[in-house]
Amino acid sequence: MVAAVAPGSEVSTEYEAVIGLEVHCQLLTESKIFAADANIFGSEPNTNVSVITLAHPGTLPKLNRKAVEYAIRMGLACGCDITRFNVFARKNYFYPDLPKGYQLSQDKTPICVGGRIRVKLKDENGKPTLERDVQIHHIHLEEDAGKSIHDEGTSTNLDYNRAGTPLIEMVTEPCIQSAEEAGQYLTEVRKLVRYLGICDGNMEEGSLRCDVNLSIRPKGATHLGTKVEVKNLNSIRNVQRAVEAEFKRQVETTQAGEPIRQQTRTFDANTGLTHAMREKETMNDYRYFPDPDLAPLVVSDEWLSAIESSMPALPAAVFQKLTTHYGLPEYDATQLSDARELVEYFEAVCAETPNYKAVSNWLMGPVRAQLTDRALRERQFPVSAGQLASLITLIDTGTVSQTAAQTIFGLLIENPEATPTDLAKAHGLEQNRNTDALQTLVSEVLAAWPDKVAQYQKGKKNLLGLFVGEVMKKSKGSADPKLVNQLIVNELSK
Amino acid sequence: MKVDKETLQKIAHLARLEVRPEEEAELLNSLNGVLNWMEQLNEVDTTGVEPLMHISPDLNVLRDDAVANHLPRAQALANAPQHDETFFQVPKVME
Repeated sequence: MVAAVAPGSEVSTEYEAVIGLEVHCQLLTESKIFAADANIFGSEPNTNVSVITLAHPGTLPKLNRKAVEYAIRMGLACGCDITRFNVFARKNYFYPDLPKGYQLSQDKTPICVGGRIRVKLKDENGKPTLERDVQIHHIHLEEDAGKSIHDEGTSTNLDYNRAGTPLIEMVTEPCIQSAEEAGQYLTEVRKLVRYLGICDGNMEEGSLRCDVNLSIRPKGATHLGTKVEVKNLNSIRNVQRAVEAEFKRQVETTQAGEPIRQQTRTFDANTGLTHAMREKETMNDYRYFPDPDLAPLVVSDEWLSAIESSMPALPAAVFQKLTTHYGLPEYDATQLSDARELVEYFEAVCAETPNYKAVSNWLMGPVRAQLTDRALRERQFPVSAGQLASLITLIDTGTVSQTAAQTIFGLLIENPEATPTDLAKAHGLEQNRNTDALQTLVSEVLAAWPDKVAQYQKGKKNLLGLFVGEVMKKSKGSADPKLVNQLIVNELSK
Repeated sequence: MKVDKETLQKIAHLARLEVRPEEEAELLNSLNGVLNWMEQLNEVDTTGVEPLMHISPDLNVLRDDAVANHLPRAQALANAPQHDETFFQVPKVME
């Protein structure tokens, strides 16, 4: 591996990558963008179809208001200009997954123009302290195509459930410089669409998809090289791998004296290499023209401000609130603001306990671990905010130990109806806070170690741990160590 | 602008139309006739005229986001030249 990296880094001092990303997000509307068929992933093939989706003659598309509002939400979140007069365009090409022979899209009037997404990059010490703005060229609305299934028999099977799913396509300027930056940009886009509630951001199921446009040029040059598009990237990691592989390929091709061909390539996750799919057709071949079936879309001031006022809090504002209102360290705030559901859960728990830092620790630790293990989304998490809050209160009042609390947490997941207090009682997990009983144990222990007691009183204060340990043993771990500590100190200072 | 043989074959290909060599002359004549006729518009002074992007008299014809009007699958598939009980089918296409 070291050998493979060394020539790469030599190469990268001579050439630089110029990267633009095209991200498609499927919008979380109930119905499709131009028809009333259900917009759901995973239904039986060809059950979410209508005469409009199947392009029967004489049918007319009608635009879904919510799809427009979701696209505008994203535009506002990225600081884009919102286009007030929109027309939809036909993008003409033939492929069996496209029933009409054209895709309804936007060409001259994308609904959002300009804007940026801020990403954090690592400095030379590996700390994410550098900030860059990835510039957005535009965001437009369009419909998704159906799905071709090639792997059976002599024909290609078609499922049109996906045809007509509302999409936004976000196109960046060719301003991204590295695999890391591409990955960070995608991470931020995914976080944003989830916060905005407009897309579930699932790259494996294809609700968030990314194509990479990459060219190379000698470092410091201002012209753009021949652009290659890489498709078939189903994770952020694979986008980064594809950027690295394609950069290396283009540098090696150029150094061998061969030209870069304008192509569409596909990324093979098994080999980590890109392969040519087809030579790119020129832009004009899509023969865009305004769709006569759809009336123009006008976004009024009133509509725009209504959308603006319905916007949920964005990650940056949430981060700010976590560090100021809740007083969390930046690390915690970064971790928690990663997902809107986690923040909502955090705030719900904090409504019932003032120990915000403990809540944060539980969320970043056991709650997160459970979520990963069980592949549960936060909102389906079986332990309610109230239950977690009362568990934290049990620890804070010394009723249960940290260790016992972990056990109770595990039990709560299995018994979502139970209360932490009941579980602590039922499983004998309460700390022994009976001062009389503990006092007896303390006296027994001190009587058993007269020489150590003498040493302690001569100043060897670290023997306290030994005494506490012995009392804990005698109580079979049920004693509250804080209380035991206090009782021993009192006894020895008599 | 003038359409030549190469452009004719290119747009025919994009529209998936087959144009036989003996049809070329007539089609070129006809397409160029249309373009020449349209070129008269270049004589009009359009200074200060907003470009017309759409001829619809309506604006904002929108629907609420509600599910309705599904076709039963059997009915959806019925008109397809080739299908099984689940899928529409076409001759094998591979990229």
